Amino acid sequence: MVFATSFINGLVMGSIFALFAASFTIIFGVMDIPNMAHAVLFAGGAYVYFQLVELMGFPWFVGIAVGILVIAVIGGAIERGLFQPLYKRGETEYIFGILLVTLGLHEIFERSFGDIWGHEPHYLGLSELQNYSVPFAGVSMNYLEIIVLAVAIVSFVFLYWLVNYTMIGLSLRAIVQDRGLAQMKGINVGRVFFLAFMLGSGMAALAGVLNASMFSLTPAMGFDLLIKAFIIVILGGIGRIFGAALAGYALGMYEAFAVLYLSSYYIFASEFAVLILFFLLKGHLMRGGENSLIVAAKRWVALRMDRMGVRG
Amino acid sequence: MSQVDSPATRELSDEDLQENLRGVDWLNVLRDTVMVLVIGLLAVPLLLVSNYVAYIAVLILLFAVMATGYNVMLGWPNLLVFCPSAFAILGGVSSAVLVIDYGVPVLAGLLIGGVVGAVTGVAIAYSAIIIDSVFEIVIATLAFEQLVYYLLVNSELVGATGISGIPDPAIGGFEFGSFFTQYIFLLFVLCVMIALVASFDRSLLGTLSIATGENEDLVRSVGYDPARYKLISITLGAFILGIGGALFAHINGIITPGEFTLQQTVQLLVIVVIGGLRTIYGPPLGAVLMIGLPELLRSLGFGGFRPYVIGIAMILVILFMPAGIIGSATNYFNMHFGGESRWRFWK
Repeated sequence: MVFATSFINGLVMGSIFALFAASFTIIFGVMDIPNMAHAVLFAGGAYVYFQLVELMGFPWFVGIAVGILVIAVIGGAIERGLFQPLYKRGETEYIFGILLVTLGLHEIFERSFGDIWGHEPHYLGLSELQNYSVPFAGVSMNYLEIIVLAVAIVSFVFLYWLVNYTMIGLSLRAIVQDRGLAQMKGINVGRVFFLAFMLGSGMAALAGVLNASMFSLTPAMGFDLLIKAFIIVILGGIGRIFGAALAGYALGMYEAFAVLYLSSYYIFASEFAVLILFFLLKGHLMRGGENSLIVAAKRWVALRMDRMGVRG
Repeated sequence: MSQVDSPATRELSDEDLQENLRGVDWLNVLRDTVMVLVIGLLAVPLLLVSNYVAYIAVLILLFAVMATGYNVMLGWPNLLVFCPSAFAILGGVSSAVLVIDYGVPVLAGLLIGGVVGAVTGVAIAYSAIIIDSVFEIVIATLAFEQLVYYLLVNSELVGATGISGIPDPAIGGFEFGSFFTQYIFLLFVLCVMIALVASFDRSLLGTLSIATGENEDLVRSVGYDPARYKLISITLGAFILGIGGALFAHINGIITPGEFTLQQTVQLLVIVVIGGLRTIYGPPLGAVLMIGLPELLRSLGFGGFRPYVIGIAMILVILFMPAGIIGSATNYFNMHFGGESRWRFWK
């Protein structure tokens, strides 16, 4: 009984983590940008929705569609206006630059959300859906949870199609794998960056609306999620959309079950500890200059098996 | 990379290459230190205006010390270490505990705080060397900082309320109690730190650290071990940060983990970058701007604009002056006035 409830919680929270992390990894993997402003794009989507639906009375689908569009457009503007001048700089300058610009954007937007809509939490009408439940495998799931899961599934199906069957998606993957080679094949990297950032922003906005309906709408919403997103994206592989999705669900599950045994502080701390260990392990395994952790791990196993005299 | 060209690398094409590489140009070190001292002393009359101004001045100096330390580990080896707050709070807590519970004199506590920071720095340095990828270092050190925060908040010793009742800094019985005396004390400590950083910069160690930051493989091919310079830079920076944290504890009388989170790291990052990475005068200038300006705004009633000012400043500086104020000014003077020897004064 408890297991089933935790499982469902894990799935639902995991969905939000997965959506946020997948959108984050698109930006991170394609453009090498740790987008510190992702949290405000997330919150921004929810605020636009709030403005349109709660304050101006538009129906929910308009709220969601326009929310995603507005944030995507803002994302595009940020990319063209602020990021583009930084592309021609050297590696560390570029990273410094991106970090500080996105941090600056975070400060500005977070404050303006509070100044425009008030710093206190708001509630979306969608959260009413939580009052209706459906019995399922001995436990009950409320309508909102079902919707969140459904939206996540649809989004990932869409992403799968995009990434595997469209030119844009294939270009995206090509750039993640090897930017120089992609350029040589004639892929317009600048245009893909622009579209990738818009896609990432739009997805974040969608995740924001969902999150705000499940909990509440505050200006600082999403910052904690941003820190976790770093963990998720690293574990899932930078630039791997489905790696991030999987890791997002895994983290959601971990938190849903760990909360039964550990206090919340320790959960957070344990996630960081796992991350640090992961990095050290990865650094140690990949000293041979391999490109991927999986290859390095296979090499390590093969070496051990060899030494033990096992013919593989 | 030409925009972040510091005069230190220009020195390599100088005739006195031989001398500068082996020994340290102590005269320059002295000059940098005295410069900061004089400017700091000139500000003393301002302190008498009001208690509030004196408090802000003290705060500025505290951040200047910490930023100087952070600048060393960021600017020289170009390693994006994201955990200065962790070094500072560990140094601060160690000093506080030693002074309160074990009766260690405050000066010794400060030094030990620095050593604790340095030891942690060594661990972080080795992690950075093993991990070797810029992003992963950012995230791993970020994770480390969060970890330290959570561990401290959940510990018996510190907890969320931190340690309070920490005595003021004192030298042989004389306690630096008022803002005025604390300012003088801090100014002195800042000058010592500046002297430390300046001598580091103008020595072989400093030059090789810069080289490691710019092109690690080339350093290795010439026969030096880049790992050694990363280690030295981070440890030195962490030492200064540890002292900064300890100063924070003693001057404020109380130290809480909440004062040393990602927010302070970002603040330090902004201070260093706006002032100018890899410059000597950059961090103090950055501290004056990023601490003084918002407080000025607040006293004028525009307190709510603080995040906007910080955010816009960050964006503008990165886009238009990536070498920071001091760095860009130096580049400007070097470009337009040719004679390096004259303007090498301003570093």
